[in-house]
Amino acid sequence: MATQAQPEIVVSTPPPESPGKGRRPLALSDYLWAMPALILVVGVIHAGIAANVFYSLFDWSGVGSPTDFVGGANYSKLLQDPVFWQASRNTLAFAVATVAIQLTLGLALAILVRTKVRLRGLLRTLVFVPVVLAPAVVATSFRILLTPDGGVNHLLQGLGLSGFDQAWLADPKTAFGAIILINVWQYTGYSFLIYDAAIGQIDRSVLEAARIDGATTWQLSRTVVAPMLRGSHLVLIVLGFVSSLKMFDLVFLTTGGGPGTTTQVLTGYIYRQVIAQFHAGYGAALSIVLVLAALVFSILQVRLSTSESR
Amino acid sequence: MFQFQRLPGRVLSQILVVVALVVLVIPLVLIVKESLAGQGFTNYTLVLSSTPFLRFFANSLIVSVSTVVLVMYLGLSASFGFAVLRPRGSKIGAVVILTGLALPGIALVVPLYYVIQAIGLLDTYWSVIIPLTVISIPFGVLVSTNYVRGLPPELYEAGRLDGASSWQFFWRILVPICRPILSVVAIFTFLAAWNEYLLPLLFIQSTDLQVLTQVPTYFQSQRLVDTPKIFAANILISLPVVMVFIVLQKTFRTGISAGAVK
Repeated sequence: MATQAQPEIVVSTPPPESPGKGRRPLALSDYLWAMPALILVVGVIHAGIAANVFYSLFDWSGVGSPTDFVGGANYSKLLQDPVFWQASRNTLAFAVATVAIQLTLGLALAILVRTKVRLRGLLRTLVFVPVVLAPAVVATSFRILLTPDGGVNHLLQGLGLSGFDQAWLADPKTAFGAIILINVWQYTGYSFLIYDAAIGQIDRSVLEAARIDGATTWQLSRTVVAPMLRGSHLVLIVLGFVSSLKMFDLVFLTTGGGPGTTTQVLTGYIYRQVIAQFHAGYGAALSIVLVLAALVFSILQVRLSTSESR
Repeated sequence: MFQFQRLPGRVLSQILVVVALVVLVIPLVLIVKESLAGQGFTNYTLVLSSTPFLRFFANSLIVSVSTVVLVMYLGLSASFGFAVLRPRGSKIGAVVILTGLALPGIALVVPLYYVIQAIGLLDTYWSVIIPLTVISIPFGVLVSTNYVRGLPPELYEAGRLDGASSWQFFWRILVPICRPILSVVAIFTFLAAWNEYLLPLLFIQSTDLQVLTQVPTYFQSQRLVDTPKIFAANILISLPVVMVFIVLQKTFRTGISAGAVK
């Protein structure tokens, strides 16, 4: 479903790998095609992960060769490190919150642009503009706009809402929520686009039949459209978690993980340990946690993409 | 599709659309407004003249285009092996590559930093291009392989009967047929490369090689924070991508939705 504009795809599974049946003799040159990609991935990603495992067994600053072998000490330290747990909780909370909000808003907008409203063309274009911007650009802009004396507070005062102005990113009560909302502003357009494409594939006659039965737009959306978009929900949930796991620029360039460590996430904590504090051994142990989490989502993403393409 | 709304429903829909537009536009308007604070458009000319902006732009382009070309070629080439030629072990090869699909680049920062220093790549384009390419390969392989697998299996046999070698088949038949999926790979990889912040921050030191995403922090590292220039720089950085998006909107839309699902 939702495989838009790919007309020449012929749905066919490759013939089963039965030896002899139309299969050409094994040629060594057949291996050459995948070799460059394979060598690069194994040489950088797999060797990198292996190196992380090795480094994580040392108390190492990252300069010179690691000599101070400590065994599993970095891992037991990690389990007792409150900042590690906070960063993990934040990463998870960020993923859950942004996925929930962006899917809801994206779907609502995708349905809205199918009604007979004005300005829907403008909305279609505009909602996607923030998606193509660099997170570094968005983060540096909002960091300044959200200062106590920044553009957002000025706007609130102008609207007579001066009671609501805040040091958005400096106050531990609002900082994390502000970061989530920045992400929602930037990436709702992505969910919108996926839903918009999928809704375009829904058979109109189904909707018209329900309409004749007297269903309202709200009922149609909830009971007919939303369930039909199951594939899109799944894709967006998995991709949302993957990008939350990767998210670095937004926190690094707005709060830097602060105030204190209240908005720290796993990627930011690795950066801090490795680059700012020269705890490369400990940072390598943290990286292994991130690798394991990423592996789960890699598997989900592959599963999803191969089942969707059938 | 939902065109038969009664009046109250229509009014409500219209209000919601306007609210959405306002929420989307406000930050953009504020960014433009701040960029014109103080000296107006002079902020823009000062950004262009007081930083090597064009140099940074060229560097971003060099890094992004190299990465895109590498990922397109490596991805399609691997998918030709995995989905068409299928020598023994192809499945394992594909699995090995796809395990990296969701990996955040920062998980490799310790070994990357060490190796890039050790082999003397620090402060070169390659220190950014190689990690970016490798991190993007699994996605390129996934979508290309799914696409190639969906092509009629007789295609390759027919090509062979006509006497085409694998090399000729790849370049003359597969590459043109795969143009839609290659543009999907190109869009995703280009956006990721053009917007990449961490790798150049870590591995590029000389101003001559620096890329656009580092410009905003450039104005912060100067002793005083020059707010209007940060915003002017942010707009100058974003304009090319936003313009390309608006011009190529249709390709972008189909490309992004196909890339997510395939």
